[in-house]
Amino acid sequence: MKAQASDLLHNMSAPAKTTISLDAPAQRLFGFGIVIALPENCEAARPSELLQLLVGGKRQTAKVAETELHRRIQARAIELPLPPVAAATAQTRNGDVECTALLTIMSVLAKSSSRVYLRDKEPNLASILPGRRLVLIVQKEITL
Amino acid sequence: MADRFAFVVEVPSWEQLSDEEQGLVISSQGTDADIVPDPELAGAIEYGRRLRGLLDTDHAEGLVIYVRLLIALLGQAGLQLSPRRAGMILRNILAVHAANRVLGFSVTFQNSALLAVRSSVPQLAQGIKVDQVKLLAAHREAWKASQLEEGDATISILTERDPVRRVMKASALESISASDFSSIVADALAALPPGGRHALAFNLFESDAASRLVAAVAEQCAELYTMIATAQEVHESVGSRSVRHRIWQHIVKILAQLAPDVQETVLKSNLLCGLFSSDQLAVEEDADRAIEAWEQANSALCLPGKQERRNAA
Repeated sequence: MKAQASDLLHNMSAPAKTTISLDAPAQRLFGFGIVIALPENCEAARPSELLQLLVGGKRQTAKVAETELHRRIQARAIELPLPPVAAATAQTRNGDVECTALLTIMSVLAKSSSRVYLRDKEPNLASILPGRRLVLIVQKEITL
Repeated sequence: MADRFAFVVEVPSWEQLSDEEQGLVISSQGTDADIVPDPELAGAIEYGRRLRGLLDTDHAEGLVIYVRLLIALLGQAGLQLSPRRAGMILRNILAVHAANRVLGFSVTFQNSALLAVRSSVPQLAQGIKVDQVKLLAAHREAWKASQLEEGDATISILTERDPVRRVMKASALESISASDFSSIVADALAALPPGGRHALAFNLFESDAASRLVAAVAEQCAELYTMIATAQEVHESVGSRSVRHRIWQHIVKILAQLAPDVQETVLKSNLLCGLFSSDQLAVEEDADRAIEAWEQANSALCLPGKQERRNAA
């Protein structure tokens, strides 16, 4: 009977909880981060708008703009000093470098999923979106 | 005396040098060479050493037959080689083929063997003329009889049971297509336990081999790599003395034993915290197993271009 009473008492109380907490350090301890995102004030999403943002002048038709943007992205991707494959993450850290070159940003966004940048992938123009933000993790510091 | 040296390489005689080359030899000061440590070379040598080990495992049996036949055929042709030389030839063949692979030369195993044999004849140092036609004929016959076929590399990959070694062999073979290489990597990722598969993905992304992955497998590797390369955060409320709590306490215990301020500790911390956050550790021992699998795969793996990239970083 005594044992039963003890169990009853225990069951009536809330089980004790512990909070596990581990914060990531403010800076990257491994590799370097390159932040890739269109400028904050940029609202362009269509190929014709993106091309106009890039080269200025009159807005081209959708087909012409798509072809031209595709060509420029492919040419830029070959020139980039990035490795052919790089991991991508959403996590930014102090010391990550922000890429400001518009064509480079478009090239990386067009050739990246949320996890990986693939230089040799066919560019997906639909993934060049305002507000999309990626951080490439590379082994050495690279200026884009 | 020459029989003690593994390689015997002919250099041009004085008469064979041009006037300009003779002039350079005469005017040389005989100063010490400016030797500085070259980590890139050290990396290439380490990769070559590992490849040589793999080739040894796969081809030693066939090569023993080849060398035995070669020595007999060369003896019949009037070129007597010592038993010590026979062992050296075998080791030289493996070393030359591994070096060709490291340097990215697309040379068949048979041609690596021929080059090694041509540079392993001690009679050259004695000024004895070696009949190259007879040497070539003996090599061809011995090679044919030893049944060392060119397809052996592919067969050896397919028959390799260890997933890490299979990826290493495939990464060394340029002729494998991207889709076949990716399938081998995907199979290895599936076969390896947590920790082991993370080490494989990490090493692939740190080497040139990642560029041979198709998008789907690159994506899979990138997810594993990111867990290792980025700091993990853990915020969770758990029951006191629950299994989750005990696993976390065990992780803290493991991490406390690691050397501080070392890159390996950072990577292991990320691994354990990442596995904990993604609920991949069911019991305390899983954390030990993950670290063990990481260490095992990491020490076994050596992929092309890894050292060069690290040095650049």
